[in-house]
Amino acid sequence: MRNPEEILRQRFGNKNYFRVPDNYFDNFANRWQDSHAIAVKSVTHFNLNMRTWLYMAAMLVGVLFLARTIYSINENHRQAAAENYELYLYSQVEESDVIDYYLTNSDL
Amino acid sequence: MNTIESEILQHLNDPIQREKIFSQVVRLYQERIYWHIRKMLIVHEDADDVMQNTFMKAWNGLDGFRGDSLISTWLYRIATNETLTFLANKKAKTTISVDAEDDWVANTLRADTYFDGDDLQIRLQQAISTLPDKQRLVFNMKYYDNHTYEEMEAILGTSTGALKASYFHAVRKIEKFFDIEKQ
Repeated sequence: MRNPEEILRQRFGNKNYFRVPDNYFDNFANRWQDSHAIAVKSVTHFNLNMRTWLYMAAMLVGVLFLARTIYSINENHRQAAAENYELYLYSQVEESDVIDYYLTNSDL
Repeated sequence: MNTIESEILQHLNDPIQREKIFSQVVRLYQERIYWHIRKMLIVHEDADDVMQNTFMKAWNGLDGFRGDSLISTWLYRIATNETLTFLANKKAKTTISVDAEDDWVANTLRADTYFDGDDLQIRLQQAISTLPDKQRLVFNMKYYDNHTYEEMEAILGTSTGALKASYFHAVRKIEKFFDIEKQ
């Protein structure tokens, strides 16, 4: 008994009867290269724009962080100076004077 | 992997040369990929669209290609997926019966200036069009393109045993198509 595949091959062959327009493959490669170059260019352009925005955003975050750090250092410094001044004032007054002051101003 | 493939692969990893080398890949494999798609889709314009998508997907997925398989196998795999997706979308858009599908193939091929086959070849294409898509793929790859089962296994991700069975059933169905026609 003959193989069914052999029967098919003998009856129909396996030649490809489909055709393409003239120079289709040359044109396809060129067409693809052109359209692809445009796509790559626009993606690169997009990536470049994106990169610029990312750099700017990173810089802004950096500046904000620096400003906050400088502000908090200054604030700490100011508070420390105020505390020091208060301690200095207390050190200049005798304890008995403070007691007298409280006693004479009983409403305090 | 032959020397051309390994050379291409080496240069594809180089970002500066990548674009130029990929254009060479297109030139090198376009015919094989085109015929693989065309035999499934019948119409040249559809095959052209799907081939464009295939190479675009391949380019976009280039970073994911590690060279575990041949470049040709990888391209065939993408082309197969794109073709099956195209067919699924087409079927979803048009509700066509199996008989109407046979007629569509015959009418399209008769009117197609890019098909040289006679009535016998048109009838063979009609018979092939009655097969399920995946079986049709297996049949075309083996019958027309003489792919080995090992190559087909790498492309379609189906075991050799299953492919052999699928091809056997496809041949039987085509044989039956002509037996019924004779009666």
